[in-house]
Amino acid sequence: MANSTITMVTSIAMIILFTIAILAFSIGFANDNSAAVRIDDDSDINSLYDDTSGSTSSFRSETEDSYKSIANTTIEAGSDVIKSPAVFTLTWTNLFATFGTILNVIFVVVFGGNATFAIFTTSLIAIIGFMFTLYIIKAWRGSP
Amino acid sequence: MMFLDYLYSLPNSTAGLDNIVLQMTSGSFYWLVPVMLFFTFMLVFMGGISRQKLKSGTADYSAWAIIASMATLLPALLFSVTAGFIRLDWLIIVVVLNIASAIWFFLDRKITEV
Repeated sequence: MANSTITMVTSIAMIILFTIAILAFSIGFANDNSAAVRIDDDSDINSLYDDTSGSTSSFRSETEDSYKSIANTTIEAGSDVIKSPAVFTLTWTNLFATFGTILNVIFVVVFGGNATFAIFTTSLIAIIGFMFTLYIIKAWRGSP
Repeated sequence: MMFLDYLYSLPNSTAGLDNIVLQMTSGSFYWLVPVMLFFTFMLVFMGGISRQKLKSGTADYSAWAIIASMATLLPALLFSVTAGFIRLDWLIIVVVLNIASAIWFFLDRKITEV
């Protein structure tokens, strides 16, 4: 599992790029071959494609702006050092928002709505609680 | 003489063999394409994992999941060219399977592997 900021952001950026590539390939295949069943007939897929493309553009412009502000920083002779770290900040909220959108589309498409998704999350939480209880019992007994 | 009851109506074979498959997949045999896609996925996924375990002792599950899902997407897109083979929701599920495998794959990498 990713354990640092750079790894996490890189992983999410790669996930978004892969999503854009797969969707663009599928839509392009349907256009080139005049396919009878088209992936872009689904509204969720269309909105996901637009959202991922837009957030990638936003992330690129944010990175460029942040780099420009670092490159344009000047320190006058005899002046104090920079007090604010604002020039070194880089926001990647768009990436995380898009990652949430991807997960949401997956759950809507696969589980078909809120009711089934609630059952899924309830089962998942139950399994986690079950494993957690077992770990407590094992730690209390002292057995491996 | 006793006649057998067919579970599906016999297809019209005068238009060619491919038309028979199309009639069957759009009629009583509609689960043929999903089963073929599932077979493709499990063939690559389980086969890759077992061979890698046999050769190296460990298997990269997430990598084989993304390879298998991409290998499933190609026949799914080919099926989508002609009407009657695959439904839109099955095609969407295959695409979503690709994205889910990518999430598993990229979040599973270590810092030196991405």
